[in-house]
Amino acid sequence: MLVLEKARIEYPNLTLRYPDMHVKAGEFVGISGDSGCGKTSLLEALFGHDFTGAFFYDKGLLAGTDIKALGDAKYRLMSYCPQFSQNALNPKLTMLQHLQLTLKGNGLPYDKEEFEELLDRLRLPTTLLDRYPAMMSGGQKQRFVLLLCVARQPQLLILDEPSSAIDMISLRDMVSFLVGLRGKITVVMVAHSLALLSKTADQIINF
Amino acid sequence: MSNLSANIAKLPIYKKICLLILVIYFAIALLAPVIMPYSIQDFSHPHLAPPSGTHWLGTDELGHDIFSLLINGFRLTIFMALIAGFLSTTLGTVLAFISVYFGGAIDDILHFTANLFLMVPELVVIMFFAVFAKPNLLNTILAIVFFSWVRVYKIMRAKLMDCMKKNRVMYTLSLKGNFLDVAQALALDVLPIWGSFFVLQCNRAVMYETTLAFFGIGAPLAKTWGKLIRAAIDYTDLYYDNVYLWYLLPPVLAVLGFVISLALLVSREV
Amino acid sequence: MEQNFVLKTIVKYVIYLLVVVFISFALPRLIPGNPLFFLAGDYATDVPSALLKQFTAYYAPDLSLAEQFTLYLKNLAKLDLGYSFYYKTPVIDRIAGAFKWTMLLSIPSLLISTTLAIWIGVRMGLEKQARGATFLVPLLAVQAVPTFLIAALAQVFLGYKLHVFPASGAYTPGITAQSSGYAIDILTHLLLPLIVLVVSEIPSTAIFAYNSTLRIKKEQYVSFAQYLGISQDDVKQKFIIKNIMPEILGKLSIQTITCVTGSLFVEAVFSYPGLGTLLKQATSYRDYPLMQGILLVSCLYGICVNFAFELMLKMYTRTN
Repeated sequence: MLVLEKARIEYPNLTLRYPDMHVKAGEFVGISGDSGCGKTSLLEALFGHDFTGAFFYDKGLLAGTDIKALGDAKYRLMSYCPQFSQNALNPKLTMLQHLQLTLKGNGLPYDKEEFEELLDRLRLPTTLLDRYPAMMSGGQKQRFVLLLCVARQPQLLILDEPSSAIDMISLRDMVSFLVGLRGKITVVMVAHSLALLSKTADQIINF
Repeated sequence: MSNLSANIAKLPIYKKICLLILVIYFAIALLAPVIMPYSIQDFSHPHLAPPSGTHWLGTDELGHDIFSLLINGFRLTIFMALIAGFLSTTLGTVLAFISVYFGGAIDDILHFTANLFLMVPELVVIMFFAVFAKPNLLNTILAIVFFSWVRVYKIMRAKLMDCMKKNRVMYTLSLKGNFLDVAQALALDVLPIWGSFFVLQCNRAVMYETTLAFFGIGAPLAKTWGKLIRAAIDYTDLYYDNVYLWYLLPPVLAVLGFVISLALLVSREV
Repeated sequence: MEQNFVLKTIVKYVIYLLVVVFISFALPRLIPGNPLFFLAGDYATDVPSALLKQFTAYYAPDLSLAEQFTLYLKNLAKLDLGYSFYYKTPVIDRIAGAFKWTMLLSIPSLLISTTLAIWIGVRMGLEKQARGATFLVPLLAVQAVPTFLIAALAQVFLGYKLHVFPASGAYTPGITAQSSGYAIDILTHLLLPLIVLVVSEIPSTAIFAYNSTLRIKKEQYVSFAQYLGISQDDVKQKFIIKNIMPEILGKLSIQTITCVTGSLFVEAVFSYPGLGTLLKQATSYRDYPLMQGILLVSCLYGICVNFAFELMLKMYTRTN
């Protein structure tokens, strides 16, 4: 699903080199490393919209096609959930509106039952759909963002430190949810705590 | 000084052009008495003569040489703009200092007054003021200053409050030191804004004065560009024989050149 | 809680109103050398005695200030704004006649210019940095030009020279409400002043919308929406415009004042029979009572519109 060889970001004073990655479809892969070692930078360079920097690789494939060549088309294949995405919700829209807009943009139907089931698996109450971000806790927002990412039926799901700002209970629910995706969606998750990943991941890549 | 020329060199091309235009305007204003071929009181010339060797922009219906009137306009307008701009910017800044330094009731009153001023149509009130007062240039300037300090005040006050919050040293100083000490300490932060506002206020003063003059308000003998434009528009046969080209257009272009250059010069980086 | 807020706003505006009324009363009396009270001297011979009597009755220069103010308020309650020197009819009549034209011009211009300005500002903001900014210079240039000048230029070139639109007035002389084609006539005469007013109002709001868009564009929820595959149109409408609206509404309440002022000057240039032309005539003829009346009415108009906007703004931010 995802292949990356000899990836590097060149800064004026130094070059960050990344370990090679080979992720198979349906795998759950964890990326760990100390703070500041460039994990987010790599994800931004690969999947972000606004990365301005010198990013190179010898080989970089997403579902068999070169990543840079894909351009914005890559978002049809994958969902990118950046860091601090509990802040990535529009303060003026309800959760239901977020969901409907996402589905509309991806040409998918809204099946009420299907999503109620999804909410349940993430331990989110259905009343959440009528709430605005300001009325939700950090953990709820983080999980809902995850729901949006999954709702669009991507082949690949990239998560950048989804655990950074939420409580342990939400984290546990989230991880068990992600584990449940195994085989259907490829998941690559960056996390601080190795302990969390080692129990669940198929591969762990250390940066 | 070398700092200034370095800053000028860094400006984008369109701002350099604006600066050049303004320098030319300023030069014309200074050299006006030398450049003007005839006195503005002199209306002995043939009426409505089209542009020629002796009258570069022709004459108006009373026999004045239009070119001289125009050049005189440079001097009047720039002189007025500089004074009004300086006074309104300084007044706004000083009041902002007072507001921030004394705080409490004084701040409340000043702030309330400022908001009130903002709510009324500025130009209409200035007009009102200027009509009732004796029609001379000083009163026009005072009227303009009296109503346009508000913008400066509001933003300076916000900026000063910001400064006071950020800089604890200055804050303690303000508690111990007297007003002048505080003013001095904050002056450096405030100077660049004062500079931008000065240009903006000069621009506004020209806009206002020109509008007032167009409405026939202001010193009757001070033939500013606004007055010239009004005179041209009042002239009923303006559109025959392309009279408007040398009667109406020159003062209009003079005003446009000035206000646009001023505005673009202080606009934030594009 | 909502009622408490509305109450507070009303109180605030009532205070503003009272202060404006007071200033309108005090200003002519405070300005040194104002001719209103030298009427016995220079102007006595120019002003017919009937008018002088009305003037003295209205302004009552021989009463104490407190009594004058009470008289002024009483007159105001009766909608008596004195008599016009020039027209020799009550000021309020002249203003009422002119006010409808001013509203016809100013209110549509505000609606049109705001819509266009937001559309332009947001489009500019969504472009790549350099391209969007190229429109900034022309907008700033137009913003710097005094409104009356734009009006004068439009009148010269589009009205007189090219004969594209009628160059002055609100209707062709002689035509009445009963004539056929009255509405069309009104419309064609309205077009040029309206276009000029809209052009003069657009830059300020457009630049503001542009800057707001630039700021909101950087918000995390905008980029995330794009990652989610939400359509560009939806992003524009629901993520960007929806979030800049509160500040734009705030800016608009100030803009309404500019609209009123601008309208006055555009009318004056085009001899459009609104308050602007009335003001121009009043100033030419030094018709002080009329001028004072127009000042009061336009200040009040400005305050009312401002008040309406502030309420609208608060309601909007509460429900969203």
